[in-house]
Amino acid sequence: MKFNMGIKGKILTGFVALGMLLFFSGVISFFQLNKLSYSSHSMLEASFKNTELAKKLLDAVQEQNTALLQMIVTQDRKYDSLLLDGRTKFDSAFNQAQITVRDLQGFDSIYRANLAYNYTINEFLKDSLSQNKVNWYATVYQDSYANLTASIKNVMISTQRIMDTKAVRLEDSAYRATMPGLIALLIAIIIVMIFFYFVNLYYIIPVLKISDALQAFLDSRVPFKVNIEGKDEVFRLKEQIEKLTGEIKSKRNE
Amino acid sequence: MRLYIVLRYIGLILALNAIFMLLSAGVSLLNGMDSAFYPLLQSFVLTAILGLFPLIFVPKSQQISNTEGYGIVVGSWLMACLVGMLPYDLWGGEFTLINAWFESVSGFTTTGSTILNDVEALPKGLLFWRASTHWLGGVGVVMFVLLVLPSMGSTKMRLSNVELSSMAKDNFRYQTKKILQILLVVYVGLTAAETLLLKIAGMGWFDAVCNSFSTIATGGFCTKNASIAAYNSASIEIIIMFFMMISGLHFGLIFGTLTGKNNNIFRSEISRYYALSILIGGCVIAADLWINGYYPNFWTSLRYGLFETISVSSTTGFATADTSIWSPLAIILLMLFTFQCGCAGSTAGGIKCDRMLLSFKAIKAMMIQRQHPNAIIRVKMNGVIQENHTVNMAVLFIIVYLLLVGAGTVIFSAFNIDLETSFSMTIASMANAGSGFGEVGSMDNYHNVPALAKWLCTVFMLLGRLEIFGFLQLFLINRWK
Repeated sequence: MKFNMGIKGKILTGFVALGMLLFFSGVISFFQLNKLSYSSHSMLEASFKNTELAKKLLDAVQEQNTALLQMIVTQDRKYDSLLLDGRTKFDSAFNQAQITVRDLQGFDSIYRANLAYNYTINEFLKDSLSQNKVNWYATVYQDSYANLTASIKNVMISTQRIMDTKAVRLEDSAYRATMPGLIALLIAIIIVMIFFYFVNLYYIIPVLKISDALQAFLDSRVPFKVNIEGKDEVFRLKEQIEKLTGEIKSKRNE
Repeated sequence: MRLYIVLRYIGLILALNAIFMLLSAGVSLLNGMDSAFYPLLQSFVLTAILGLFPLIFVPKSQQISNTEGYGIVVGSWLMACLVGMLPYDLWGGEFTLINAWFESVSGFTTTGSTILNDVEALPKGLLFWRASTHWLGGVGVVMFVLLVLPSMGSTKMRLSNVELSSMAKDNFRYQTKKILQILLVVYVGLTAAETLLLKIAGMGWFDAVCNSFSTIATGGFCTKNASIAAYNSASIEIIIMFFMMISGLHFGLIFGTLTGKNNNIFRSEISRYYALSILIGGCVIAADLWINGYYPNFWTSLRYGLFETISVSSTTGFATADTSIWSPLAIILLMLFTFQCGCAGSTAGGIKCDRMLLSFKAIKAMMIQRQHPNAIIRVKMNGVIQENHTVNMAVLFIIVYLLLVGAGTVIFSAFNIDLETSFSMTIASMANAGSGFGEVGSMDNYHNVPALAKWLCTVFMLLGRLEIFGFLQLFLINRWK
């Protein structure tokens, strides 16, 4: 590889490389933090939605339970509509869950428990007068009711567990998100040090050497002699000064 | 020492690493832009900038000193390992900082030890980068640059002299340029041949390429959790056994054999010793396994026994069986082979057959000398009288090697690691063999080893790869006047 760049080109390239690194680290950090922010937001949103839906389902079951209890106590079928209203609310919340919730694993058990619960109530409504209502409520119904509410609560607990796992993953992601930016920044620091070393080696030290040699020539006519590596502008400057001091010396000799 | 010259050449090595990162990103792209794509691309950009930066300022130098040569070689290995950990660290998963460093050093030094519990969870791009580190390190990171760069003047000779094993130069009876051409032809040729044969034997292209990189570099990283045992194919095992064996031989002799020269494998005393010791060792291990009832018949015992013997002798570290549960005789023989390893001038690490044979001959000469005090006894190798300096250096190397193994065992024991594991971990790292015994057996990994012990393992890997003295030179640079 051959580079014939002048001082301007070299320093410019050095700064461009540094700038690119910093820009790169910035872009990576921005991208990763955005990703992290999106993940946190979606996690919290999902948690909120699941809790909200579980609450709606529990409310709907509670409404049905209250209607049924009133029906048993008052022996009046006017509470049928209240029961159906609760059931409609439950179905609506459940349908909404099927659309919005990604992990429907827990909802399968709610679906099954609800089918059993509805079947129990429907059977009761068919011939409610022939049954021992209080006994039925305390045994058959309570089992079905407890199953349904337990399955809803299980979904709430499993949602919290999933959130907990996701939070750990998010913590790991946060660590990972900082890594690319951190690494790019570390490399940028290394490059700054190398850059300083090269600028010092190729430009500052030679210029100081030229200045010292020129001062020595002016003060006590010590021959101007400086060793400089490379063929760039500093080298040409040294050669021109060498030529100039040579001419001055020869003119004085004349 | 001119630091800027050292930085320039290290920059070239980093640029080469960056090219392989880009290639790995390409593999990732071809596999549906898997999760390794961005980490590999980021690593490529960072490594390329870091590598190319010194080239802007430092002009090409035709002459470098010996001191600068050592600085370049040791610096290049360390920097290659440092940038090599970037893709792992950026990808995440099981890679913490120390794990990424371990995997990178293990890759470049062709040790092949891994910290991964689940290799198959890695995306293909990262698996390819993992295999690439073996391939780059197999022939030596500096040597690789010398192979691919067309002209570097006398610098080429100086660097290749520093990078090549001191014992390897003898069988390269050519000029530096020719040596590099031979290395390139043999290295690439063997890799291509093995890839093709593995593909024919039923392996997929990706696995064939990655496993060929590992075999020819005598590395040991496999794309499967169960290593080569996962393929459960006798033909694949035979192909890999053959290429592991070949990769443990001097590349100059392989070239001489293929081109019909006198300086060939069959005429070399060292090659004969290497092949014979493996054959006898493999058969003894197989017989022991059969007698102790590990396998139903002798042929099955030979299949597993010989594979593991060649794998350990060539310092590859591939596995087809869990050697940790084998009989004590089999384990001790495999440990001895981990000491001896392959021939100088190959991609294998360890003490090397050349030094072992030279030491045996020196001991024999000493015994004769004691019987005939006035006789002048010379140590000969391939019919050539060896200078006392060469013999002394070989013996000294073995002594320092054994001292370091002892020190390593004591240090690892301090981490409450059992003796078998501590000892085998040290020799597996020093010899760049990878596979040890006990908790770091052929079917286990280094995941549960304490972080500080992992870091120490990487020091031993680098010591082994740079043949101890090369690595130690780095710490003596201040005294070089």
